[in-house]
Amino acid sequence: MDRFYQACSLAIPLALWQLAVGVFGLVSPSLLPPPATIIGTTASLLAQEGFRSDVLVTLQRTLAASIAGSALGTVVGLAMGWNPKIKAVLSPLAAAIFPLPMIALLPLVILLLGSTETALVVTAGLGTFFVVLWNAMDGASGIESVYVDVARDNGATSTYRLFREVLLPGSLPLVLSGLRLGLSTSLLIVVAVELVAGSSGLGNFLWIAWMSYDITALYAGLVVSGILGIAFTYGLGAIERRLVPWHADNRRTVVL
Amino acid sequence: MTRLTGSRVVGQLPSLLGPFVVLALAWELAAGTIVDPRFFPPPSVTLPLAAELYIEGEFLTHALASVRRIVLATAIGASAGIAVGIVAGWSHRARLLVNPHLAVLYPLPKIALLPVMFALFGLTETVRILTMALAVFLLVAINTMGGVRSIEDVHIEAALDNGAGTFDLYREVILPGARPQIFSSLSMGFSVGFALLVVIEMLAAESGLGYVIWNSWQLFTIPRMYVAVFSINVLGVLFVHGTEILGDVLTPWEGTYQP
Repeated sequence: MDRFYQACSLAIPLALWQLAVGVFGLVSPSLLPPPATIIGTTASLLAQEGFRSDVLVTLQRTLAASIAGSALGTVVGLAMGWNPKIKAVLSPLAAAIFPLPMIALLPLVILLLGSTETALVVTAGLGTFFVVLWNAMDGASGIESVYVDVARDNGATSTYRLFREVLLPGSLPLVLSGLRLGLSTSLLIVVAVELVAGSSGLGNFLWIAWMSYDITALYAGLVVSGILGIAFTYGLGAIERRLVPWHADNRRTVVL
Repeated sequence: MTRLTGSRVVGQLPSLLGPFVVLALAWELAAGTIVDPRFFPPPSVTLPLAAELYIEGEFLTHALASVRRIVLATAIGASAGIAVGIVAGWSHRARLLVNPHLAVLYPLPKIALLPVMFALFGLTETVRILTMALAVFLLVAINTMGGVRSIEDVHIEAALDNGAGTFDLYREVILPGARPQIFSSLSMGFSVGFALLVVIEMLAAESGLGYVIWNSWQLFTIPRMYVAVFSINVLGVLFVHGTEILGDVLTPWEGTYQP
C-alpha cells in the first residue's frame, strides 16, 4: 500500500502538470513543456545517432574516470587506513585538497596536458580519486582489530588466510560503496567539464540547447542525465545488497 | 577514535603542517628544474602575488562574492532541508509524500540543472543562489530524514513518559538525535555547493573566484589562476572541515571526526 501512495505522490503532480500545460494551457508549453512532450522528445532524441553518441561519450568518460579514480583511491585509502605512518603523511594533504572542487583545476589540466579530451577525463578522475580515498580511509579504520585477533587465535595464521577471511570481506562493502560514490562523482564532474569546455557529450549537448534556447531539448538532456544518475546509484546499491548483505545499513553516500 | 577539537588541533599543528611545508619546499626547488615554472609557478611567486592581489582589493571583492553566494545558498537550502527532513522523518504520511521526489531528484547530477534553471528563469543572482540551494536542500533533507528515523523509539517514549510536550520532544530528542546526520550532510552540502559555485561562476557570472579562474585562463595569467584556486581551496577547507568540527563539538557523544 505504501508503494501505491508513493507512486501516487509522483504520478499525481505529473498528471496535473500534463493537464495544466498540455490540456488547459495554463503555462506556455514553450517554457514548461508537458511531461508527455518531454518524454516524446527524449525518445526521438535517443533514436538519433548524434544524441546517442553524446550519451555514449559521457558514459565512456564517466566509466574511465571512475574506474581509474576509484581503483587508485581505494588502494591509497585502504593503505592509509591500515598503516598509521602513511596516514600521518598523506591525510593532512588529502584533507586539504578534498574540499577543492576539481572543476577549478580544469583550465590548468587542459593547459598541462594540451588536449581537452584527456583533460576532461583526468579532471573527473582526480575528483573521484579524492572522494573515494577519503571514504576508503574512513572505512578501513573501521575494520576492528578484534576480528584480526579472533581469526589469528582460530588458526588463520598465514597472511593469505587473514586477507581472505578478514580483510577482503571486511573491506568489500567499502570498495563497493567507493565504486558507487566514484561513479556518481565522475558523472557529475564529467557533465560539468563537458558543459564548461567539452565539444561532445551530454554536458555539451546541454550547453548547445541552452545557447539555442531549446527548452525541450534541455529537459530531455536533464532526463537522460537523471536516468544515468539513478541507474548508477540504485543499480550499484542493489549489487551491494546482494554481495555484502551483512553490511545492512549501507550508509548513504554522497551523490554530488 | 580520536577527536579533533580545540587544544588537540593546536597540539597536532606541527604534524598537520609538516607535509605542506615539505610539499611547498619541493615545489620551490622543482620549479625551473624538473617542472615548468610557467605551469607550476613556485610559492615564492604565488604567495607575494596573492598578497599583492588581495591588498589591491579587486580580488577581495571576488572572494567575497563567492563567500556570499555559498553562505546564502547553504543557509536557504539547509534550513528548508532540515525542516522538510524532520517532518518527513517524523510523519509516515509526509514521508510517503516527500520521499519519492527526493529519491528521484537526489541521484541527478545537479550540474545538469544549471542550464535548465538559467534558460527558464534568466541569468540572475537569485537563480545562481537558488540552484546551489536546491542541491544543498536535497542532501540535507534526505540525510535529516534518515537521522530522525534512526532515533530509537525508546528515547521518544522515555521523553513522552516524562511529560515532554511536542516542542520539548523536538528540542530535547529529535533535533539532537538527527544532529550528527544534519552536520555531516551540511559538510557534504558545502562540497557540492562549491563544485556548483565554480561551474556557475565560470559559465554564468562576472564576479567570484570561479570567474577569476576562467578569466585568467583566457588571459593566460597562470599565477593569478593559482591564487584563485588556492583561495577557493582555503574557503572550501574552512567551510567543509569547519562544519565537521562544529558538528563534532555539538555532538560530543558521536566524536568520529578525524583529521
